[in-house]
Amino acid sequence: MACPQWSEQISAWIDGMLTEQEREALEAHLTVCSDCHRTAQELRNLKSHLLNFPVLKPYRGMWNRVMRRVRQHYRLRRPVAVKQLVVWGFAFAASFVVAALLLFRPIFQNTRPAPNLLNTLASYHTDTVSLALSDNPMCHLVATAELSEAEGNE
Amino acid sequence: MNDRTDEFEKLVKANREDLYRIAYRLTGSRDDAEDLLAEALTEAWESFRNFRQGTDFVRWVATIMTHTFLDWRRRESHYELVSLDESTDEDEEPMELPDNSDDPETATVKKAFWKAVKKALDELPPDFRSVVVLVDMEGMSYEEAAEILNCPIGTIRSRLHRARILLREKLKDWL
Repeated sequence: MACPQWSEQISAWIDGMLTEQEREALEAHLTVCSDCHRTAQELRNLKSHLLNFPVLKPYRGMWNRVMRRVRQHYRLRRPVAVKQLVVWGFAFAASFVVAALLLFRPIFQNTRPAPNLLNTLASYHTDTVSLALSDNPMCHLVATAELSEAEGNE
Repeated sequence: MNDRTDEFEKLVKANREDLYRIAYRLTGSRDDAEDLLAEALTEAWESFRNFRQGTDFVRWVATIMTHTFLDWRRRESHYELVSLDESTDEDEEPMELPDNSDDPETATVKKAFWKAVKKALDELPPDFRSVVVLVDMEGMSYEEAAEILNCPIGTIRSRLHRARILLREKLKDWL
């Protein structure tokens, strides 16, 4: 049995994990303590054995079975890059907005407020309807409809 | 398959031996190594978007595998299954010894020795076993083991020492 105060140091010494000072102190101790010396030897043997620990060959077809199990998740959870997620997110949001606009278009048209900038002048006669958008010369519009025929028909 | 699944499978195929060896050393059984590989690789696939070119794939999967193994062992039910499984055929199958040129007597002694080592490893607490596998069997440094196990280097040093003392006690007739 190694000296308790040196025991953990021996293990680290085998792995080359001691500082120069610690290593010199331990090596000096190992020359005078047969128990610690034996422990160091045994732990060193153990380490070399573990490094060569044999591994049994896998059962036949193991990798096929393993990959079959892994592949079941390909369809369920496909790893999607963040960039792709952002692109698809934008595409979805845009299509949602377009769909909403198309769906509610009649409502928007019916509730549209009357334009303030345009001063609408409408004159109604028995035989004509004139609509004049007078304040904006660019948008001057006169619509005339002949209604006399219709009234005449009546 | 898309590019990512293709890339993932190529990496797995190229590193099959290393991945299986670590899984076997962690679990000590071929059946459990297969289960561990399937579970760890599934998790690896789900996190594959985080995998960067140039990263050591084996180390990356080994990290997932080690944590999966520790989770299994913490769940007592699986631990019981391992114990039952262990008594089926593992003991009956010949150990694949590094040197096949031994005479029958030496081969028998070696087989008994490795069987004793395997038993001693199986009796280690999972936290200790994982450190022994990473440092003593896979030859990783304390820093690498600490990174994989997500713990301080001092913890690795302490666990490794205690694990070795336990193994030495169990194998004292062989060392």
